[in-house]
Amino acid sequence: MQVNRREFLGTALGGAMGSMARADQQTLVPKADAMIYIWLPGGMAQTDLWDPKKFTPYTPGMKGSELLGTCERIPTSADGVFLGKGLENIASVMNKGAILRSLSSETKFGAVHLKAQYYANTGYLFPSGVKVPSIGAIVGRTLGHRNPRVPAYIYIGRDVDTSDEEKLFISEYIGPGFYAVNYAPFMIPEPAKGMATLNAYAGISMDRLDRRQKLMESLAGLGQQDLLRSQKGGDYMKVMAEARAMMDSPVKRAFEFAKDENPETIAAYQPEIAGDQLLDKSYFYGNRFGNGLLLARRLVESGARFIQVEYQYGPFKGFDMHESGQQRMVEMKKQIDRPIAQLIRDLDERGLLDRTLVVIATEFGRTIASAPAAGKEPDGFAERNTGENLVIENEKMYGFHGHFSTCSSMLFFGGGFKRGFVYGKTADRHPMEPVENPVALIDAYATIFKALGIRADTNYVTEGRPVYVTNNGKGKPVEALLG
Amino acid sequence: MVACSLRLTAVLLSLAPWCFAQQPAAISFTRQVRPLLEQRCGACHSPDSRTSGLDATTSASLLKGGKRGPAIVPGKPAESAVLQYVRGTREPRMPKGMAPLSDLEIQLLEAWIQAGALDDSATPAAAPAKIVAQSAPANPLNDVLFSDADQLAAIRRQVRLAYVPRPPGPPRVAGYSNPIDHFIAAKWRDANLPEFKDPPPAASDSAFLRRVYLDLIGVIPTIAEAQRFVADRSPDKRTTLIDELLARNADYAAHWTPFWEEAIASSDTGVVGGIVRHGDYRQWLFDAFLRNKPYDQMVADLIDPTSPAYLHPKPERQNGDYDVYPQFVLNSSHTETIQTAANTAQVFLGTGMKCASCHDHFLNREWPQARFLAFAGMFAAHDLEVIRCEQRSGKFVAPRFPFDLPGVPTATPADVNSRLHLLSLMLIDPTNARFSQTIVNRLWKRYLGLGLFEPADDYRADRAPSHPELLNWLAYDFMEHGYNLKHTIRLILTSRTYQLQYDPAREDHFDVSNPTQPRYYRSPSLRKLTAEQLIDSIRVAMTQTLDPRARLYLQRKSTDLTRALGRPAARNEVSTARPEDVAVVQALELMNGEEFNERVAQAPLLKENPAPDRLFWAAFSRAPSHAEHELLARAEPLADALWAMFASPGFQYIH
Repeated sequence: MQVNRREFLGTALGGAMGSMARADQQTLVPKADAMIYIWLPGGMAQTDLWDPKKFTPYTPGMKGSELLGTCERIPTSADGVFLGKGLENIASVMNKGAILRSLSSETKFGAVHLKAQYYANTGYLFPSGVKVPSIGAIVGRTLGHRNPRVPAYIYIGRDVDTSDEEKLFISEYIGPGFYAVNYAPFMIPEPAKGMATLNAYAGISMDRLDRRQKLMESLAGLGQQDLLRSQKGGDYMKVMAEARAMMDSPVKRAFEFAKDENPETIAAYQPEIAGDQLLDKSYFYGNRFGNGLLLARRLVESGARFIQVEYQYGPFKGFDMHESGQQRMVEMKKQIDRPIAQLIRDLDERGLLDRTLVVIATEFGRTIASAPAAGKEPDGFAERNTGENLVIENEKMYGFHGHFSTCSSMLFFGGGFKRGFVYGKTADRHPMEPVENPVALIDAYATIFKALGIRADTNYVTEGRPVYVTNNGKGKPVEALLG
Repeated sequence: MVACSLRLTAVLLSLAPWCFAQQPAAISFTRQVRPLLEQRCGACHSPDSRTSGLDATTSASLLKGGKRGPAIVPGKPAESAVLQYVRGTREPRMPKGMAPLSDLEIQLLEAWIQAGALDDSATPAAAPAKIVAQSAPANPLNDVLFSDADQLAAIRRQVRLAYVPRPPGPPRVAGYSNPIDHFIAAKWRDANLPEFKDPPPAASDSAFLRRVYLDLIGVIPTIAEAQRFVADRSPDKRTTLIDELLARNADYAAHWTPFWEEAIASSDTGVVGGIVRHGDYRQWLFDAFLRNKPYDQMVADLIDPTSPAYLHPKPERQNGDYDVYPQFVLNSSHTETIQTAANTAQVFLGTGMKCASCHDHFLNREWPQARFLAFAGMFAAHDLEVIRCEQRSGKFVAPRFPFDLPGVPTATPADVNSRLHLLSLMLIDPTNARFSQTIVNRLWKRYLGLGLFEPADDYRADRAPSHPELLNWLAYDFMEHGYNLKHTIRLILTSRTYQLQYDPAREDHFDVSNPTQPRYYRSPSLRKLTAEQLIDSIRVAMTQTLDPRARLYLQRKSTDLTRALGRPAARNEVSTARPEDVAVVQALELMNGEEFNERVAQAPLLKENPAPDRLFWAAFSRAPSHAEHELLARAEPLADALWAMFASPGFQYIH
């Protein structure tokens, strides 16, 4: 069920529209109605995953420039498209997706993950001078709800109640920015627990909840009639009623995957490695990630518009690989390969992939480290380095440890994108920068937006000026990627 | 001090030519020469000790001389023995066996003799000065030079305010005493509104009480405070209450602090994950409001590194390899510099310049890019390059303040600290009208709901404010009262305009698509409680006390509830407004969120098992009506009655 934009804006589902200015008329024909954004922060080494190069096994004392790939290349279901070994499941569905291998940023983020993540999630460089919305808020606001009782923007797999400064910073850039709370994500830190506030608080029965709500309405009706007659007070009461209605929404059913799905399906979404098998046993979100993707599929079925699923970022954890990169990459592949492939297959089998866009992204790519520090931990912020001066003395140094804003890959499945297709080409030797068709992030954004039917110059006004969904409204879709 | 500075102002305004072109002045024997002679010659040549028969302490005795003849020849210094001796051209050099006279002292004697060696002791003289060899007459600027920083700031304000024409006073409208009300009622009259003849009613005592508590100290009153006020029969109790709340300095400061933390993007940690943000100004802001620091001084202290109250934050390690010094003014790169300038313009000049940082402002012709970059250059150590939408041009713009202020030096200093010093003085200068207008507009918006110009961050020269004369008058009055925020706040809160009853039919609205729609302020606009006001007020209602250490603004942790209520998780960008939107995610937090439900259920007040009426007083600062009483009395459990009150619009809004 789709609510059109006019109706959506007309209802107060999102509450009072405040000082919102109308976006440009939506004139594009959407090819996708929903989007799942698989966000894998840390800086994925594209050379070991989506853009594999010649495998050069570890030999003690090898030069950095000799290290081209840490794994074999494997063929995929798409003719002539290869992935890194360890992605056999994704390889089997590669004929349903496209790889952009030449995503390139002129801004070099150096050591700073958070700035690059801010950029990747909003399309704006930090500090941007205004609280910019994340891509989920942009899509949620511009397209509105698919089902009025299902949140438009849902975020899975990130802890939020925190006083940790990095996490607080991140909470802002995955949020609605100046679009404000109406377009904030519904946060689902742990898919198995669902969304706590869609259930009555512990010890409160639904009867009591409704009695309490009625009492509030009656009280307001007695001494607060002036407020109820006002625009703001009226909106407030409407939103309280809508929140109550959402408690009976189909979205709640989506969280009950453990009960509803057969065990084989649930198993197919799980990682192929357990937390206690990892080199670093302290950091494992594999099951949460897999369940998150399963939940995402169910949310799309329920009518959600935009779902972001994160493998939770932690400095020097997950895909943020500095030491022992090769071994850790093998472990990360075992955590993402099966669940992602299962999501694509599942959506496809249910006939949802045509109208659902799945995007896989990270904040930057990786390259060879520039120089070892203290004989152990290579300097990670190399950019255009050839690896000539790096001697790989031990296996901990073997792998792709340098941050590489110059190049990374982004993947698109379904939702109007070409299938079994690769766009852009990178050098086979260091620095492995784009040699054909480099694409800027705002153009990748514009391409996603076009598939969803959103013009790149759509804008909303704050502080008396328009802020565009792609910087200055200048994003140009990469037409070659679209089917 | 005010009297002192007024006197000095008069002096300073009249002395301009005089202090720069020194004119020859008469030398006083009594005040200048005799003290010198007594001190340096008197030990041997005084009336009591006439060595060689000479008394060197009067004009007449010098003329008379001693055994070696007259000591002076009036008009002829070279022939005067005293000068020959002190210069050592005649032996023995005087004072004998002592340090010689200084050049200045010798010049003084020479000039006195040259001028005729006159004795002014017959004319009434000031008390004999102990300072010797003063070569210039008393200069009133000395009082300025030796005044303390606050006095100096007061003097600067007075001197500079004299350049600003005094705006016309309020139009006279019968029946009002507060100047604000005259301006507001005059517009009703001019627009032929029925309210001119039939003024809208004032808010009830309990509505006023709740409003003024939330506005001044950020929380609702306790039951005792509310009942005391409602029972008070004195006619001026509202003004008394405003003064009492304004005097609760710490609570007042606690309510202002989060607003300004967001306005200047004060950050709990200056550096996070390698990203440099602004410094932590929480305590600095709190202290400024605690002692009601003049607003212009606070802003100067924020921007001017040479100010003693400038916050020099501690260096923080970034990735272990270099130090950074997070603060409000960041200028280590082009981007940081232009954003600091744009932030300053937005927050303190109410002017949106961000568009002009990349290109000429399309929507506001007032701001070509070069004008903005010249302004931004005042935050930088060098001229800024014109970079148009990321394309470098190789052209550079010399720094320049964007508004012409009378009597301000036109040259910009070369070093960045001096530039920031000059910039801060120009920014806060009384002749820079936008500075004072912006803050009085923010006060107006804070207490009435809608600014005299809207948006409050986007003052447009091509768009008249709602009440231009009032805005101008308020700004001048604010400056004239030493940029004293409490003065203007008190003025607004004691007006009848502020104290009107909330009425949705009369309330103004602002719509960006129709910005010239008039506003009349016949009713305040409804305002949503901020996360801080809501959570702190619930705590006051539940504990019947205001614990200053438990207030939300001190809490670093961000929760689902605080975010849903609009409190940002991190202050990454400057922001002067919390969105007032309500959303399902927020309603769900109130309905089912653990934090909100726990706060309500675990209330100490509930444990006392009080009568429902007492709960009603705690939440709404008034007695319930009969119908309200009946509703509450039926609530089971009692916690649900509380939840219903706290979740109702009557609690969630200031009305």
